[in-house]
Amino acid sequence: MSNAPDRHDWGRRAWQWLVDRFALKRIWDHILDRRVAKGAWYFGDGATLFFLFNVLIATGIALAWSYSPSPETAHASVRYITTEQPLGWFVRGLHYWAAGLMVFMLFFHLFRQILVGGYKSPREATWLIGVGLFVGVMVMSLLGYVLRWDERGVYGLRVATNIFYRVPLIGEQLVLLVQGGRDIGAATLSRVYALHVIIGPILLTSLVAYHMYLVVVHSITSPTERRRPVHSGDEQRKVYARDAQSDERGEDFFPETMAKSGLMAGGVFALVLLLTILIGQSYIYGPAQLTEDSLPMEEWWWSWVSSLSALTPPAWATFVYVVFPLGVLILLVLLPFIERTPYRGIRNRPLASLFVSACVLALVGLSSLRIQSAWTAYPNPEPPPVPAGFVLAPTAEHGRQLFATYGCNSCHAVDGVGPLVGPDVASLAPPRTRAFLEQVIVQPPAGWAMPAYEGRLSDEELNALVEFVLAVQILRR
Amino acid sequence: MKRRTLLASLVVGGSMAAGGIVGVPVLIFALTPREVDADEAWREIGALRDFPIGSVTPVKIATIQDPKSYEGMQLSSKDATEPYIPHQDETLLRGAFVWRRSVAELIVYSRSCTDLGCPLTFDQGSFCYLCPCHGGIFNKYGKRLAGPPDRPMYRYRVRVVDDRVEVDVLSVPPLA
Repeated sequence: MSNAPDRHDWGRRAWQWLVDRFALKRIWDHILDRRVAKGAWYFGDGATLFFLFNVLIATGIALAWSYSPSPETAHASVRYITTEQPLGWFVRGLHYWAAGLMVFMLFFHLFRQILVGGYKSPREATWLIGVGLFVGVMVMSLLGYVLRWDERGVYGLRVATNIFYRVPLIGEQLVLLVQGGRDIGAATLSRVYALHVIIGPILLTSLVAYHMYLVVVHSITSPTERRRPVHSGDEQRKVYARDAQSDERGEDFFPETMAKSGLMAGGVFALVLLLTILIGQSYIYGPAQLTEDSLPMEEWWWSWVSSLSALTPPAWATFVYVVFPLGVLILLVLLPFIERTPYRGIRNRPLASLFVSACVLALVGLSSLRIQSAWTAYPNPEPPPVPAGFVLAPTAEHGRQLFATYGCNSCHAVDGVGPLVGPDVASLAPPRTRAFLEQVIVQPPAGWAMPAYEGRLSDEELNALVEFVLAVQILRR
Repeated sequence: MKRRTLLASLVVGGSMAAGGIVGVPVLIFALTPREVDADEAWREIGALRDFPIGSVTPVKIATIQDPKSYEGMQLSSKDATEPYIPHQDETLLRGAFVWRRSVAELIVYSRSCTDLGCPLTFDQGSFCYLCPCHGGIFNKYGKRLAGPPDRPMYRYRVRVVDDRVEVDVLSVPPLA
């Protein structure tokens, strides 16, 4: 009984020693126990990104433990991690979904800062480091799936090198640098591995630390800033200090701010867990190869880029692939120095709202276009089905078979069934004459995206094809 | 004050010198692209009789790998123009299409779409090359019919030596 106070005393002294020797008091005073201005609920996006980053680091370390960065074994090791290693599917799933949602949250964070004017003085450097983080995370989100060394990964890499190849003057040198030689091979995988597993994480960790240090120093956009114009960094500091100290516009960082932003992080993490458990890790495609037919696709957070590329007219290619991304990057870097109005907060920035709405619409619209991929032609050995309640004459029926034999159905749909590259032959407008159809099949006018069948069709075959089109083209009338 | 200035410039200058001595070689090391010494490198893709007149045949071509990068691994030959094909690493093969246009004329297209490098599929029906990614379509002459490609399909240089058909793998861009 008489030992109790002593034991208590020993514990207290040990705690004091820890606090003193590890200088914990300073961390407590300067980071946790301080007054900050209140943020809106959506200000938790930064904390969410930080949380996802930590999930990626932890799961990434685990994956690196079993991954083999050599072209002969990389794909097999990913398969092993997914199917054999205890909880491998869970760790890979977390890594995959945390990465995808991190890209999503990154765009959210970027757009939110544009909406509230988060780059305005004195927060220019916070913004600039953030732009660096944006580029870094986007690069990592591509390199990560290249490491799978499956078909999708290797073609993802090919798309990247093909974009580099378009850079004027140094394009070919850039490709050789990225590939580590004339061809994709062991040196390429080594480089991707070094970038994704060593260089990327070190750079991102440093930048994240610096970004957060600047957020502590320069803080977040306070309620008063969001309400009325603030003209300079000095004015912001005064306004902010008043907000932070006030009862209704300020709060304690620990635990109030952390709890609030933790709520958003927790919500997104719940989504990561849900997707991991319901859908699991990303599908593994066949081993990387560049010789067989395949239908590679990008991971979902890149699908808007794919649609953008499909909609690009040939003459614009270099602009869209090189000038546009570089232009966006330069614009992001210069933004705090170009846009110097005193208006902060969503309500005072209608132009920003308009711009961000347009960007979100473009991203969502382009991504949904990718789901249909109406531009993709693909061979199909099956002739188009005879429309319901429709009887074809023998010649037209022969034409229906030829429609597949000669690959017409690689591009043309019949009554809504088939690809949308060329016009649906069941709804040609205006209905075409026999002579017109024959002419277009044999030798289409210059500029038409249709091959010439001159010399490939017998008169009888041409007649059958035309009969089929003549029969179905009036179907919808 | 003099001493302080001197020491300060020594600290700053010394740090920069050390950074340069380590950093510049590291950058030169990392940024120097590997290049192939040879101007041409011929690979056999089959015998002339393997390619019937008028037909399009898919083939696989062994690529160039810089032997310097594999020294010590004893995987490569000494000659940069010799093929290097270890087991299972399919990425060291490239797909191509051989079109025997006439008795004497062979055209060998790279499988790589000239837009962003996706794998073209040959459509036996329409005689077109279809890109599965962004809608590129080429006709049998390798000319663009649709989609974003802004140049015709990449073509390998071809030669026939004693009935053997060979292509120069250095005659297409490094990503084809």
